[in-house]
Amino acid sequence: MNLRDASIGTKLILAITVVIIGISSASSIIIYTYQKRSLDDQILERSRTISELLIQIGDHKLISRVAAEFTEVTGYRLRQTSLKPINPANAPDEFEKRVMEMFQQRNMTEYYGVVAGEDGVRYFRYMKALQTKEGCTSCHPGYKVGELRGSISVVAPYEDIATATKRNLLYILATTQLLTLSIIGVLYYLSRKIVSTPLKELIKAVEGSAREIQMSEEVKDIPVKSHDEIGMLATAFNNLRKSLSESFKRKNEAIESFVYSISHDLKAPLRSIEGFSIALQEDYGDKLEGEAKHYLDRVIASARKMGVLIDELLEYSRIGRINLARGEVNIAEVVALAIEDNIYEINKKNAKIKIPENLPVIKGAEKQRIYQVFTNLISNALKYNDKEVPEIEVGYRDEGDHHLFYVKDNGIGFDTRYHDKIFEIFQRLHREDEYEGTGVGLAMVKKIIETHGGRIWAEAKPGEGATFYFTLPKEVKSR
Amino acid sequence: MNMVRAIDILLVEDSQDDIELTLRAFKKNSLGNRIHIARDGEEALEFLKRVEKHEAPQPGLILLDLKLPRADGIEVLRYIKSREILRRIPVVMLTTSRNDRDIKTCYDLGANSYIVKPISFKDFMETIKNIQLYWIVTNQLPVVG
Repeated sequence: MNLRDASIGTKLILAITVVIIGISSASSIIIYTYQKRSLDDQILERSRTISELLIQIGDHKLISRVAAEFTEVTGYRLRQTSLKPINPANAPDEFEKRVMEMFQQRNMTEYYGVVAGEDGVRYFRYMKALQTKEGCTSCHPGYKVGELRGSISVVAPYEDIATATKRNLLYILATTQLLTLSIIGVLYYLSRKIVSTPLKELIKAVEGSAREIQMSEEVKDIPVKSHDEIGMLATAFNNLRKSLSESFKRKNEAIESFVYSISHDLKAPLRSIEGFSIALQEDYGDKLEGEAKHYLDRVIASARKMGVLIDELLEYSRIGRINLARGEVNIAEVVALAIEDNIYEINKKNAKIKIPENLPVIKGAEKQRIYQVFTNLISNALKYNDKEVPEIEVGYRDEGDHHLFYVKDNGIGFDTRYHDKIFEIFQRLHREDEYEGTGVGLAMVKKIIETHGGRIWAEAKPGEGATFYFTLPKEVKSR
Repeated sequence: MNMVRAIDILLVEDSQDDIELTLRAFKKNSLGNRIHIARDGEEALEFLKRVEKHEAPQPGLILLDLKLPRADGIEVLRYIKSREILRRIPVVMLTTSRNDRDIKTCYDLGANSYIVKPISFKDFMETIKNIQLYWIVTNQLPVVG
């Protein structure tokens, strides 16, 4: 899963987890290191003190007794050793030998470190150089004063302490991680309760009102459940929606009144022009001369044409603005109606029409509008056709999430340069005396398809016909 | 066969053109009705008040435009339907408005018919003829008086 897709809560928790684990691990390691070092220091201090003490004692017998005592109490093994031992029991081991040689060469008096024994067990080893003093030469005649005579060697158990420290570290780690987990658990719960859940509820509510707006249902306010940022967001949403719907309503009303004023203010005088022209024709027609009569005919024809244009413009503006009845639309039925609508032209031109049998039913569509689409496309296919036998094919293909329809003809086609132009209102590719029409049909078809959530395009070749394709969703969403 | 009575008609219409065209249509069908004209709401109300006082002949049919200067069609309609003497007179709304709210309001107030003025003159003539035929010939009007 992509982290970007995770919820805000998850992201926050993840970030907090990383930070807490980092901090707790670092602090555990710091504690461990500190503890280990202070233990080492403690062993060193003890070894050093006992060694100094033994050196101070000087007397061999007493040294042995004190050493034995010390060993009993602490478990530290103490002994004297020498590179030239009188007593063979004082012969140095490998480590001691190396250290004493080092003392000789480098003029050092002390050495310590953790060393693994032959058994693989680690010991803390401490050695202190024994310089020959004046009193010594009596028993150790081979030494000069100040010369290294031997060493005190301390072997302190280390393995157990190290293990214990390590175990401590594990305890600390376990405790802190457990604590971390529980903190994260609490945080997760809180983030869900305080942030995630209210946010999700808010999102759901916003989506709900978006749907209500689409369906032009009455939109309810999003409930404001708290007065924190989320509550403020909900209030802001409500205000936004209110001002949007108000401005939408105002614009809609402006369009309504614009359309109304067109219908009222333009249509009424137009009717008068036509009406009085006809009155003139009827009452005084026989008194007018040829040319005057012709002019009057032109006035009447133009007035009628303008009437048709205004009507079509009004009809065009109604698409998508005025909701017609919606429901299941049986395309087979609609196509049959569209053919019936064009039956006069079909018979007159002796046209052949092919219709597929698998035409679907579309949900939530405006039947009247879908019918207009087919009527217009079939009428165009007939109109722009000069063939002996015009052939028109209505086609359909199920394209998964949408339907694809087409209306294909063998008519005059068009240059694809004009592809976009033919879908524009009042745009025509032909002279009026070639093909009559106002240039609203295809623009209307396009607007209907688009307000139903579909797409329309055409393929054509001059002289070889045109095919108009359009898609419609399987279930049309309400606006 | 119905007896066609030469009833009086009140035409409330502000547009001079529409008045002339309507009169022409009525004349063409020559049912011999007397047509009274009111050019705005106030004028219509004045005429109706005179009818109530029997100072003017009671119309058997009222053609009422909706958008009128001064008192509008709605106001005139409300007055007609609230008066004892006038309320039975059939009122035919004759307007350019297709507005659903207007249509509903008119019927709610008791309009007897709502007709949108056709845009083309031919259709307009046809509509006037239909109004005449239906409301004066086919339909049985209440007895005046």
